[in-house]
Amino acid sequence: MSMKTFIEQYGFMILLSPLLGSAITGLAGRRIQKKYGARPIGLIACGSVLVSFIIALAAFAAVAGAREGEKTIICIVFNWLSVGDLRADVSFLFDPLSSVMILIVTGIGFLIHAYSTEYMKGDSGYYRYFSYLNLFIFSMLLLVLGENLLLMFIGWEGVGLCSYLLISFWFSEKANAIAGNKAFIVNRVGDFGFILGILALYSLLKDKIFGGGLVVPVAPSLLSFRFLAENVHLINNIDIFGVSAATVICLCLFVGATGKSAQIPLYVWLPDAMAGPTPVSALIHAATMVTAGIYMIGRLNFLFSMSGTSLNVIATIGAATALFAATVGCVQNDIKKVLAYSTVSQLGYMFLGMGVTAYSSGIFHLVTHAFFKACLFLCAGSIILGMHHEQDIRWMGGLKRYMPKTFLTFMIATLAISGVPPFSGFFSKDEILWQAWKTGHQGLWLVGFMTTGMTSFYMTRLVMVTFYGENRLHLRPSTDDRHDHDDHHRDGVKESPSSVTMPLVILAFFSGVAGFIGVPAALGGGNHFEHFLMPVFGHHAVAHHDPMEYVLMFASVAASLGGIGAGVFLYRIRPELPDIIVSKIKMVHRIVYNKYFVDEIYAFLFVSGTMLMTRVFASFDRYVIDLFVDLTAHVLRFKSYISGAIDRVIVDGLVNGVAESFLFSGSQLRKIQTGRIQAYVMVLLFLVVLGVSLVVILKGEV
Amino acid sequence: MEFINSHLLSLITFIPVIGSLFVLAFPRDKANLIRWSALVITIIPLLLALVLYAGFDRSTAGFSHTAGIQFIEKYTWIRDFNMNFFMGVDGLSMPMVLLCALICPICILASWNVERGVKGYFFLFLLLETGMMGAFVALDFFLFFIFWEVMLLPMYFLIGIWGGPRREYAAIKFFIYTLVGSVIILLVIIYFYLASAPHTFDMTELAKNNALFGNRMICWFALFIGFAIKVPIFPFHTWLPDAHVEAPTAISVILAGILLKMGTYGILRINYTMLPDMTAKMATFMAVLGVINIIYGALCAMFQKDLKKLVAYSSISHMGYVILGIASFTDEGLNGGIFQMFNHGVVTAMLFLLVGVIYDRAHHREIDGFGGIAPIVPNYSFLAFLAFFAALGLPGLNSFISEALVLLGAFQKYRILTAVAATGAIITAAYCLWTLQRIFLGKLNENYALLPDITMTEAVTLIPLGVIVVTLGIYPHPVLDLMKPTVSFLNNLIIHMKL
Repeated sequence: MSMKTFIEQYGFMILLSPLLGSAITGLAGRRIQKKYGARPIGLIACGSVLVSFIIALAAFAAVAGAREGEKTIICIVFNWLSVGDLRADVSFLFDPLSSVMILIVTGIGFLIHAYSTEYMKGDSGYYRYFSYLNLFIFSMLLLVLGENLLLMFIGWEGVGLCSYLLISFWFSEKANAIAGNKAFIVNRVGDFGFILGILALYSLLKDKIFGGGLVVPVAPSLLSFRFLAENVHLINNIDIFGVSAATVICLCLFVGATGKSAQIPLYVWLPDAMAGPTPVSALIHAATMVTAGIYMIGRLNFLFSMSGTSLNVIATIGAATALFAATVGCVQNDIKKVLAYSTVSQLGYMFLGMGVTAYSSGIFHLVTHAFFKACLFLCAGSIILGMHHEQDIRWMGGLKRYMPKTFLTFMIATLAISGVPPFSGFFSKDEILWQAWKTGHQGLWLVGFMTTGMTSFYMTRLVMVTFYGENRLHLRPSTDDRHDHDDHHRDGVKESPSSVTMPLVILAFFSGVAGFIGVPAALGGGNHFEHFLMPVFGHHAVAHHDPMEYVLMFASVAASLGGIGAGVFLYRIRPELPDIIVSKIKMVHRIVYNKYFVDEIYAFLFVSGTMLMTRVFASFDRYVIDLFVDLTAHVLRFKSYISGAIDRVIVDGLVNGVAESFLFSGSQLRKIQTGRIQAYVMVLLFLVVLGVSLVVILKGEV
Repeated sequence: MEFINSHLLSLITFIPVIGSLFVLAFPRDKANLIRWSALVITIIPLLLALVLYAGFDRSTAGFSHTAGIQFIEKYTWIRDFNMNFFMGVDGLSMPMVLLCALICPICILASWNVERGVKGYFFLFLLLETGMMGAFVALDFFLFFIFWEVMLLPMYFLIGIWGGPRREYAAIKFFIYTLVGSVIILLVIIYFYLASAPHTFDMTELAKNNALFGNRMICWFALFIGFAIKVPIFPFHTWLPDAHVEAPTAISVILAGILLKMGTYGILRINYTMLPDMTAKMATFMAVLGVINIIYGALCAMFQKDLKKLVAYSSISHMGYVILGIASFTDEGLNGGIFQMFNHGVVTAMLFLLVGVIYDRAHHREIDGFGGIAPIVPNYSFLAFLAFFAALGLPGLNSFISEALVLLGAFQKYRILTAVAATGAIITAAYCLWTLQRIFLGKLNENYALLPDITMTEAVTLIPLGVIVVTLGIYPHPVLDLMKPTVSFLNNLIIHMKL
């Protein structure tokens, strides 16, 4: 059996394996954990992802090994929906784009599973954690491999569910539970856009294809990506409310992307999502799930390319988010918060790349970012372990000495994200910036350029404050209970065990070298990555050498080195300076430190607004509509008293007698006012009599 | 065997009422005997319904020609008035019969702890099942009305006698609404009878010869209001929260799980087939009401402090999808709407059962009165999360498919309205998650540190529903395939009216 037929027939195993893992650890995990301890659970969870990773390798090999023009492998499992003209199969699409993605998802996923076996040791919810994590791998693979938009949407919401479950994993802390809610609900706002996009796309295409009374023996799967790629041009000349249909659809879908991938205006959930366990932040909230929006645009690039307006919006939002989040990242004190804002910022770069139609550059940055950001988060996790659950960088310092492996890997990843050549981030980020310039978006290039400097500045700040200087753990004010409890650990900062550091080393290695898969032609490389993705994104015009490319490259390297220099100067050489600067620009600092008060504004506008609406509606229900009903009730009750005399004669004998003797002790029946039952039976009798007499009298006369 | 096969529908319908007479004959103090026999009596129709399901031909359909209706039983009943005993199922009633047969035994189990007036309770319950089954399978208008009334009377007693503290208020409210609905439906039935020639109560005949009816708009509205009260459609919905709050658990399950579907079933069975032209005209009106239900119900649900009331309002919201879907006259929308009837029946049954479980233990239903109980009752929490996520339309669970179909269908006709309806998903997610968080997450309320997890009996009621929720979400064909031909038929009926 060739690799290709294997994937065609058994490709779905890649999803089944983590799903089974999740089911076992979820449904039987509590019992297993009680009886045999945590070890078998870790083995099942890691094993299931390892199986997926091996299949992903096979799929990648199959796709890479296929001849030109045959690089798409479909694995059809069963027909899922077939209603009217709607047809959707459960089928999976392996092509260059998705095969790269599944390698990232399962590869980094496996490393993080392995890391978690140590990180979560001793947690009573160990089985629950791994069940969610496996479910996440399944959902993410569904999102990536799903061959139609509906299937993608299932994965899309599935990863949202896992994100919710894992953010609120330590739910006995109310704040964590609320952070989970926030993530899910904000994502639902985005999904609203996503759904509208799907609805519009479906209804327009259906109209075009079946509108002419065309009868086809088997309805095509309208929302399948292959079908869309070939037929989406049909909606080219349609307008919705005076705007081109493609623009409307793309913008709707992009709203979904801003939710999942944390862009303005829906990024607010991601910083709060840091409430989850750190490996989760690495896997879901940095490396994989949050890139779903970028992936979606890449998957539907043929659609987005139809709407220049929407591409401009995407590029602008991306660049704006990149800069905005970077400014916030410069002043945060929680190590995970800094990394979270950094993620938001880097995702902005990717959108900038997608928006200037440099799809493969956007995906390239997605890949390198997955490595270095996962590495950074896992390092942060290692630090947090070493620091006994302290996340505030103000109480760290000097960790270089205690945690050499963590330090080294963190440094490599920092250089990568800062865009220092030849680390991976340099190649991918520079590619995006160059493409932005080349396509005439000089303004956006400038924003990206500024962000580069800021990125290296805040990362350097993090390194300096965390790893250099003296350890300040003893300076920490111990106010709340948790801190008091940890007091006796204060001197015990030490390096994490190897199951934690091994993944760090592997990820750091890739953070260092992953850039070489996409060395641009200008630097004498072949840009294999772009070439590999060509079947999906089409051919770009052959790049002729442009001296400008070298100028810009030099500029961005200078910016990142400048940022590093500024960071070293402010936080190592003259550490008293930052406080002085802050005191000079107190107001600005306060605004930026508080994240521009966006959360507070949203809370006022949307949360209070909704709560007010619920109050209004519920009151209307209670006091307006019911008033009418209650009045009628009073009238009726009054009437039943009047007719009471007649009732007692007829109905007492008829109903009460029978009912009492058979059913209830008499007192029970009397508890519910006899008058009303009588009224009911009376009316029934009346109705029947009325009906029958009407029929008899009027029969034949109408 | 031959007899069973040819009388499946009457057996399913009448076994409960026949059984109820046995229950009456048992001595009052043998409570367990009564419970067990009630369980057996409701399991027989479930088994027969599965036979029905297996024998149901999924490829044919049609209403005004009898060919599409299956398992027909037709006997002359009252010759003078041309009333027939006429039963049959098609793709519209089949899922409802299945749902009803499934929910009833579960409700018997959920009623196990009824201690007061056991005999009367189970007698009325079995009578209720006959009424519901009969109303779904009757094809003679008069027979339909009788079952309709038979179903309402026990309901009234069950709420009024076994209900909560404000049961009298709830029962009379239910009574008034029901009464109004019944009267106007009856009047239209009689009018149709008189207008038809020769006079008949045969629904298929009436549908075929509907051109004879005059005053079509009045009739349409009368029927619509009569059924809208049952759905319930805004502004006829306020009986529902009260009835639910006061009704015992099992009766809430029946009410939301099956009785509400009677309303949409009636609209589809009668308004659609007998007044298709008016239905086509009033499509937008119905769609608007559907959207109001979705949003209004969701916002009201969010405000509630009583868990049961919250679930009750969520029912109003979810039934809005049914109305929106069937008002779209697209294959996607109609299939989605009917599938939503089934799915909502399952999900809401689960939710009300879950409310009952916690109420039995804590003796209150204040959402804010709990907190952090997830680690104390892991099995209960798992099922509750499953049910609430199904309610908020999580992809992979059954409600998602029906709601997505409704939106896909409705968007083709009503873009703005459907977009508004889709915001309901955000509000629904918000109140579902908020509720889960307040009850299960956060700091443990020490009063409930020793809360017992679900018992075996409760598990037996909840797990089958949970399995259905998941299975139909992944593989919807078992239910969706039942209705397709009937839906195309109904749809064509209306679409041709528009031309």
